[in-house]
Amino acid sequence: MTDLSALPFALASVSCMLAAAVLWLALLLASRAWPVLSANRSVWFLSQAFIAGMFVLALLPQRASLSVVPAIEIERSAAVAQPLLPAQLDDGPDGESDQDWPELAAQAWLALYCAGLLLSAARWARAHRHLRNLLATARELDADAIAAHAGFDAPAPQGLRVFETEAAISPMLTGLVQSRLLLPLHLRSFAPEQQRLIVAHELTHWARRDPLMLYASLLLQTLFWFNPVLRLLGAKLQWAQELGCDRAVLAGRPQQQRQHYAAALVAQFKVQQASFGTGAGAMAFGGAHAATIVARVRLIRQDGLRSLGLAGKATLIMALLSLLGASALLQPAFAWHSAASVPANDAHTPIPAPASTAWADPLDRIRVTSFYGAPRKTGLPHRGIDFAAPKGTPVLAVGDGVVVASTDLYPEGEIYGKVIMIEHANGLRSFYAHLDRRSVQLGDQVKAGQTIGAAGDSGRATGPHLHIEAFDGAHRIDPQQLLAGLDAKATSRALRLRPARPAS
Amino acid sequence: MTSIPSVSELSLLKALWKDQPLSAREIHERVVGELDWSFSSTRKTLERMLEKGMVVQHSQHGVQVYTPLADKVATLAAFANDFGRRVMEMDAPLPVNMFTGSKLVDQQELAELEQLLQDWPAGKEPS
Repeated sequence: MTDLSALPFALASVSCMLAAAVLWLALLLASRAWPVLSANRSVWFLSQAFIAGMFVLALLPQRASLSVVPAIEIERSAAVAQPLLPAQLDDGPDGESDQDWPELAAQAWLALYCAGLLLSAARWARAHRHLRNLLATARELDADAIAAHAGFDAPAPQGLRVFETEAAISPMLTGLVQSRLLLPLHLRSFAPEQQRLIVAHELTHWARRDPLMLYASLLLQTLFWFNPVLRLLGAKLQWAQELGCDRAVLAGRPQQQRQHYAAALVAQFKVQQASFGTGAGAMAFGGAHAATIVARVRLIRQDGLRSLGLAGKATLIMALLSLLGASALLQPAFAWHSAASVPANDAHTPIPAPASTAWADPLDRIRVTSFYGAPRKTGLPHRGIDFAAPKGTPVLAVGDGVVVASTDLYPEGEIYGKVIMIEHANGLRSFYAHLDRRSVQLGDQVKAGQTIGAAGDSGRATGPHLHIEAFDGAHRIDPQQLLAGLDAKATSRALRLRPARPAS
Repeated sequence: MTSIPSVSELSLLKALWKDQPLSAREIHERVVGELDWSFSSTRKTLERMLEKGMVVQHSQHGVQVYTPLADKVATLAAFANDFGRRVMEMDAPLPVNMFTGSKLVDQQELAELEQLLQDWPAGKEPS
């Protein structure tokens, strides 16, 4: 089903914000209870993927049926109770759809989202440009130079290029397709053992495919730029990758080497501090940042956090999976509280149709934009009922019967465009106009609910919709006598314009 | 050097540092693989570099040739530091795994870290 509304997107955004907030709180509590989580990159990455998943899940139709939580209802006019909004709804020259605040707000949000996405993409591009510039000034180390470098015991692994720069940057690994290891020249002034440990740390990143996870994480952060939790999780992920590599490099090493490693880390910080001063980032993060670095050094000292182990990892994955399942069920389903579903207007209580002759809905999703008898600019009252329907929407027979007309040239006037008429039992006939396509022929037997064509804008129509008329013998009658429950699925404008009906 | 060169200007400089003097055509042949652009772009860039004083132009056997003015080591070091600073100070999440993490520390934090090193349990030589 083509959905032209911006509403689902806005609702999915809200859902993903809520899911993220809950998850973030849960993770904060969990990592307080199990500090080992802070060094587990999968937790933070899967959490990001999970939030993205919640967004996609919220976009899927029929999500509400999964949820066990009562729908959060938002007062809203019936106009867009069905999120189906073709640009033009009416065949009259007065055909304008009712716009209401949720749809307008959703469209504004969509525009804002796109602008924000561009901005985030620009930031990403800027970061890339800076890195490329840095690499452009760096010197690539060939096999001989690597062999001569104290940090390498063995040649660099196949597919990894090594660069050296004058800048006092931290040793870093970058690149998704072409991985590059960038080492600062001053690293050579460190003790050979420290150089080896640091290079080993970076090579561990490479072996564990950390850059791949990092890029995926950054992509999610860019796409969901409006969700601060993804950025927080991204920072946690990056930190977990560092802690993970610390642990991998130091596993089984004596205390003295651990101290050398920590000293190398502090020495690197010192060089950076001397060269770049205190970054704005450090200022902004203040004490919390210092605490994490101190915690890292403590971990280096302790031989602290052991790896989660297979059982731990399995538990973790199970926990995340069940969280996903649970939140799919518990996620509050947003539903618009349709004003028309409450008895909207006592004057328009629908006339109950006789059960034997009641018709089925002519479309899968019903939304009435104009009732029978509504005044038209032509001076004549509306002779049928209009339903909003994007071009190509299947039109269904309202009841069993025989096709008595299926033509592009309806005798009563070409303004109807392509039409179909079906004769039912009891002398009733249903008439479908402005079709895009007819798929039944004169004389065909049809069953209720069978597709007979597709909605369109043939004839005189300002936009695609389905126009239905009903006949009892030679008389045109109000189709609503035969179609039940339309009031709850009508735009407020259609309800307003409907003439007061005499009690039947 | 006051102005920081663009990456393309740096490519041209690198070509000249390897081999000089070179004509515009010779420079273009050396950078076309890297920059993937037209000869007129190379000429335009060279003109801009002349104005900025990164290169000088003179005539050799009737051909205009270029010599780099900027010293290789000093220029590269200056540029690298400038670019390095930008990378290290970027507040946007960077697609890099950094040994130190992507945040800088201040003096006070450094002092705290050094204290930790001093108090190392096996207490060998502090670095």
